[in-house]
Amino acid sequence: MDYEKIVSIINKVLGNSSHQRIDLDSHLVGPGSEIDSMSLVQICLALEEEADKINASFDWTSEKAMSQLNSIFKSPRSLCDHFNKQVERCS
Amino acid sequence: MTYILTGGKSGLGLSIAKTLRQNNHHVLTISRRDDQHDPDHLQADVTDYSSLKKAYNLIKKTHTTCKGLINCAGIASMNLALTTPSNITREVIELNLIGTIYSCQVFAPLLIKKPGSRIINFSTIAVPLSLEGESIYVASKAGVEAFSKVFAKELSPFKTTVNVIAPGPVRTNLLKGLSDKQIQNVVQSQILKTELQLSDIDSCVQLLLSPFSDTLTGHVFNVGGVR
Repeated sequence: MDYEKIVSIINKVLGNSSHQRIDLDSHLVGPGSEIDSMSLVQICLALEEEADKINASFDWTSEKAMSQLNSIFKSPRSLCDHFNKQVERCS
Repeated sequence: MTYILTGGKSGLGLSIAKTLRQNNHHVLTISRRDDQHDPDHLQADVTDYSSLKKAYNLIKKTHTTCKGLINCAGIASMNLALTTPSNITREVIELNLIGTIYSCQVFAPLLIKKPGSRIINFSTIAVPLSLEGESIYVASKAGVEAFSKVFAKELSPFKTTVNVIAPGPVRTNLLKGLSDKQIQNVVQSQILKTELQLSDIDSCVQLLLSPFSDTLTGHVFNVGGVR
């Protein structure tokens, strides 16, 4: 998945609920994030569906998801990198 | 509509599965038991996250609209804390508490896609009664109750309800270590002084799955009543 695609997926999930459009380095969690927990789960579900389309799996319950410094949810960029690593492992 | 039911091959779980099927619901049971003759059974261990994940991936491919999750898998150990072997302590906590949490974590994504989905977990009247000789079991179920109340809040944006049924004693294999007198003592601690039947628990499940319970969440239902 490329960076453009993940930003597009996230913005599609957020719809009109976010005041600001999300870019590649927007914070998805923590202070400054405009994404609530419900939207975050919906983004994960959307990514899981993307993984399903290519017969891969996406697990968002990694220990890294909890890390403040290296969270996979730090930004769309880090989430995309994590997604691609998981998909690579499946292939 | 599909209901996922852990521990659906014996005791309370089996009774609930039968009742739901009689009412034309599709039920997928999950347990450690290998039953290749039952197309609606998946072998998985609720204490093993990866085993549940495999079951999740299978269900996702074939049943996209899951309406509910009922976590019945559990064991009891009637023993004083001081005389309970460490492996039994671990087993009770792992199956009752960790197993319920894992099951909720793994299967909730199948439910939250559809508003109005249900999660029902199981506890026991022994929790509010603080029954002597059941400390480890009570600790595991008190954990289930606490988890479920918080999980209900976390899933509320998805309109998925999470409730706990915590009945008085029902004669299943789970109670085989208790004498009639011990069971009657607990029954006498209930508000309704009658021994519960499996059908009483089935009815509570039916109620929580029905549209009448759309706004009931984060509750612990002590079937039989507790003072």
